[in-house]
Order: sequence, then structure tokens, then C-alpha cells
Amino acid sequence: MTSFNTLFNRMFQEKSRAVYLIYLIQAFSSLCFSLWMIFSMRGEPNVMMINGHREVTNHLIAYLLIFGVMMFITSFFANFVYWIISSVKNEKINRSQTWRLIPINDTEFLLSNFGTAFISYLWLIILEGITVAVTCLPVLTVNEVRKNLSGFFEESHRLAVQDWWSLLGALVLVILLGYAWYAIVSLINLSSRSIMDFLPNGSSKFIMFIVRVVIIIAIIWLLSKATTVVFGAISNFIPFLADGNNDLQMSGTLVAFLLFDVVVTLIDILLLNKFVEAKQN
Amino acid sequence: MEFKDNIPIYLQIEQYLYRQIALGKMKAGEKIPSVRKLALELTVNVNTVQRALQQMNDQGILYTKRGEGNFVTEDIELLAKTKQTLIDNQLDEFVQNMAKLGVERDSLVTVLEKYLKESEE
Amino acid sequence: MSDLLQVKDLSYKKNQKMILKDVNLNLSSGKIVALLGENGAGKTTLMRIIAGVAKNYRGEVNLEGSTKEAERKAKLSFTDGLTGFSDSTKIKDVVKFYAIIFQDFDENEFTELRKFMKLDPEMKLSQLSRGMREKLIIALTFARKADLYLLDEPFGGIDAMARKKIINSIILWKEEKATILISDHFVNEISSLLDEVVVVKDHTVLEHKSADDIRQNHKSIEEYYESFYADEDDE
Repeated sequence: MTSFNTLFNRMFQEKSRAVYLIYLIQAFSSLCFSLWMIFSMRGEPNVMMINGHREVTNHLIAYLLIFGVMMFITSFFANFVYWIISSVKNEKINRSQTWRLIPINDTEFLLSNFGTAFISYLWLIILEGITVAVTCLPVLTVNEVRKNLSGFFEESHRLAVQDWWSLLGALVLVILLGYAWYAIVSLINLSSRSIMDFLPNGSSKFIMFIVRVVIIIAIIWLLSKATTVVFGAISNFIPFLADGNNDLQMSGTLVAFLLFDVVVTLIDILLLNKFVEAKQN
Repeated sequence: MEFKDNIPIYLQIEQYLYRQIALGKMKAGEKIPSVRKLALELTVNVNTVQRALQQMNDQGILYTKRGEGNFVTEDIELLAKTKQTLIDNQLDEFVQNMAKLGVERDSLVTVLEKYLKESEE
Repeated sequence: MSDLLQVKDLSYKKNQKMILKDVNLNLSSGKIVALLGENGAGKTTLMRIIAGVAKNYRGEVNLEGSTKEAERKAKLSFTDGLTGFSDSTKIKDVVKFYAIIFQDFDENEFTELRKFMKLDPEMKLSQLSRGMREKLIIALTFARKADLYLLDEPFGGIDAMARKKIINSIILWKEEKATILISDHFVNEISSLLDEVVVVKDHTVLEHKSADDIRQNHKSIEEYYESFYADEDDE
């Protein structure tokens, strides 16, 4: 039997390839943009406006800053592209005979598939974060910038413990939401596959397409119903919620999402284990 | 070699090895090729070669030295007998075929003698 | 002899169409067995079910006491079309995948097989001819140490030399206890290798006979196989 770690590493390797590609394209376009700035603002880029003051810096720092800011801006688009690519990759793996022949149970297979997609996403964020940090760091040598920043940090020191908890909660929520995305995409794909394998043969491509769309709409409708029900149930369990106690409200939401993720995952595992075949090759 | 597909392959392998021995390609006391090599040479299953060799061991044409492989027997009498069987088989086939062509047993010797004389000339 | 593989009352439908019905099949260890049948008879489906990649079947598949799909997958080696790899993947990278993923994959043995098949590890999948690709698939399949090898139509559309190589690799690399099941719709090219023949027709296993028994009745395996389709030629 193949161990979970082995499969996870191999799947991560597969998915991180998309990460590197996206990151390179992102870096390349940011570079093009900052070069374009150099040529279009000939002679002037060494002037920065900070709080209305003109601050003179050297060229390199200015260009690096532009590059870093461009990386930051394009990251929203790049991350979106990653989510799409990784979802497609996930579903390809779910139906690939090469992957499905691996001796491991379907639960571990699916969790490894979701897990690696998500970890690769974090890897992309880390790469982007490091690049932005490194390229923007030199600007700290400028006095005025330093002054402004230290003021900001003094303020953030006043963040209460309470706020740190909400920040952590938000982070967990983001993770749960990210996971939910992959689980839902799989739910749509796996359930429509199962139903299509069950439908009588000889249906035309057009009918297949219609069936797919209907299934997708039905699942989205079911999901929205399910979320309302789950949230309703959770708020019933936690009577303090109405008091506006932030902490409890947060944990209620987290539990609801966790529950939601678990249920969708269980359905995915069932579908993969009982119905969804590897594509014949 | 080409096998006839309507006779069990192990029997044909035996025949093949008998012929090799009778023709002197495998001599008394000589080691015969390994099972896998024979299988590869004849494009047959290793199991089938083993079965053929087992039967030949039982008949005494081959003997096994542990860890070394199979050897052709040094029993000259047995080898001669084997060769005689092969010759008999060929003759049998010849006689049957001639009978089909209408040459009966009594006239067989005359026909053969005549043929041998003419082919010499 | 103890059974290696037991398939009991197996039925399988897809898109409301019967593909396999009440299939029963027992294979013992150490054999080379042909799985014969027309195109579309269900040979590939039967192999895919045994290998655990076709789902939603009824009946039981037991491979040396394992009925769970994941455990079966660990004990058998199935020829995969390598569709999980992009065309630009090099042979050596496919091998890396196999070496990491399958615990029973023997890299030294693969190297021997690869040399025997005359395959260049630097070549990309897209550069391989049909015969080379099939040879690669066979080399990957045999480099695993499994109890059961499932070869799905390994001779489809390849030239005589590649076929000869594949047949010889079966003779050379088959371990004594391993069983090989080879599906084909044409039997001549492998008939001299076979221990047993399984005929699939009308959605089920029609007959399972030893090759010697067939020949003992002075019938060639080809004649035997064709006899199942004899009545259809009259139509």
C-alpha cells in the first residue's frame, strides 16, 4: 500500500508546478510593467510623493517598489487563476486511471487531493509575500517612510487580545472556505459523473450538457439550502448568539463551516468510493 | 521453431529435444540449455518446458544435477533406443503416406529401391 | 492448487446497459492465461473491475484474501495507458512516479527491461511510436513485483518486432508464482505461451479451459476460440 505521505508529496509536486508557472508569469508581467514605467517616466521616477512631500530616493529603490506593488496587485488575479487551474487538476486526478490505480483507500486519496491543492495555494501566497516584502524593504531606507510606518505600528500595538483572536478566527475561516471550494467543485463533478454513468446510453452530447447544467444548478440550490439549515441549527445550539457576543458568533460560524466541510467531504468520499470510475484509456 | 497448435506443446518440446539428441546436437553427458533459455528459444511458457523436461527425466533420457541443471543421459543403450524410436516414427509416417498414395506394403521395398537407384544416377 | 483470484457472480451495468453478467472466474497462481473475446465483449471492463478502477459492480472479487479495492491494487499490476502524464513527460520522469508511488516497483529490474526493449529514458511520451509506448507500458507493469499482472490488449496495433519483444519479456521476467492474464481478440500470436484460455462472450465467461486439454482433443486454440463464433458467420 502507498502511504498518505508519499501520495501527498507526489501530488504536491504535481500541483506546485502550476504555482511556479503562475508565479513566473506574474513576476514577468510585473517586471514588464516596472520597465514600462522607467521608459515612460524618463528622468522623473526618483521622486516619490509621501504625505504630500516630495521625497527623493534613488532609482533602484523606486523601481523595486513599483515591482513589489505590481506583484501585490497582480496576486489577486493570479490567485484566482490558480484556484481555477487547481480545481481542474483536482478533478482530472479524480478520474485519471494512472492516479486511481495507486494502492490507497479513497478517503486518503481525496484528502490528499484537496490538501495538496490548498497547500500549493499557500505556497503561492508565501512566494508572492516574500517577493513583495523583499522588493519593498529597501524603501524603508527612506526617512519619511520609516516615520509613517512606525506610527502605524504604534497604533497596532493597541490591538486588544480580543482582536488577535478574531484575526485567528478569520484565518481559520479562510482555510475552511478554501477547503469548501475544492470540496464543492468535487461534489459537482463527482455527482454529475455518477448520474451520467447511470443515464441510458446513446444520449447526444447536447443532452449530456443539459444534464450537467441541471445537476450543477440543483447542487448549488441544495448547497444554499443546506447552508441555511446548518446555520439555523447552529444558532439554535448557541443561544448567546443573539447577544452580539463576537467571540461566540465567530466560533459558531467556524463550527458551521467545519460541519459543512465535513459533510460535503463525506459525500465526495462516498461518490468516489462507490460510483465514480477512472476514465478508460 | 514452429509448433503444431493441435498437439500439446510439452509433447512437441520433448520431440524437439529427442531430435536434437538423435542428431547429435546434444551429446551424451552434455548439459542442455536452461529452462528459461529453452522457453525463450521456443517462445513457450517456462511451465511447459519444465513439464517436458520432467517427463524426459522420468524416462531417463535426462538427469538432473542439483543446482546445475539438466544433462543428457550417458546410457548409450537408452540413447540408441531413443534414436531408433525416432527412426521408427519417421518410417511409420512414410509407410502411411505411401499407403494413401496407393503404394501397398508388399511393393514398398521395390519402389524405394528403384527410387534410390534413379536418384543416385 | 490454491486460487489466486476468485471472481464470484460479478455483474456490471453502465448507462443502463448490461456489460458483464454473472461472471465467475478462478485463476490459480503461476499461470499464463489468455482472456479472449471480441472487441466490446467486456474484457477491459472485467480487468478494470479486478483492478479496482471500475466501480458500482455487484458480486465479489477476491485477490489472495483481499476484497478491498485498495488492497487489491497493491497486489496486482495493470497496464495503464499513462494518460495521467502530459505528452511532454520524459520516460525517466514516468519511472520516477512509479518508483515513488509503488512500493513493489524495482528500478533495477525496470532498467533491465528498458534496455531489453531499447527505450531511451530521455525520450518524451509524445515522441514514442505506438509500439514503443506499448513496450514502455509493459516494462513499467513488469517492473512491479505483483502476484497478478493484467495486460490489456498489449499487442494492439504494433509491429511484429515489438510483439516479439513483449512476448519474450513475458517469458524472461515472469516470476514462478505470478499469474499473467492477457486480453486479446486474436490468439495466434500468443497461443504457444498459454497455460489456460478464458473465453468471454455474451457478457460473461463462457468457458475456462487448460490449453493442453484443448490440444489433447486435436484442436488448435485458434480453432477452439473460433468455434464460439462459428454460428454467427452464417448470418
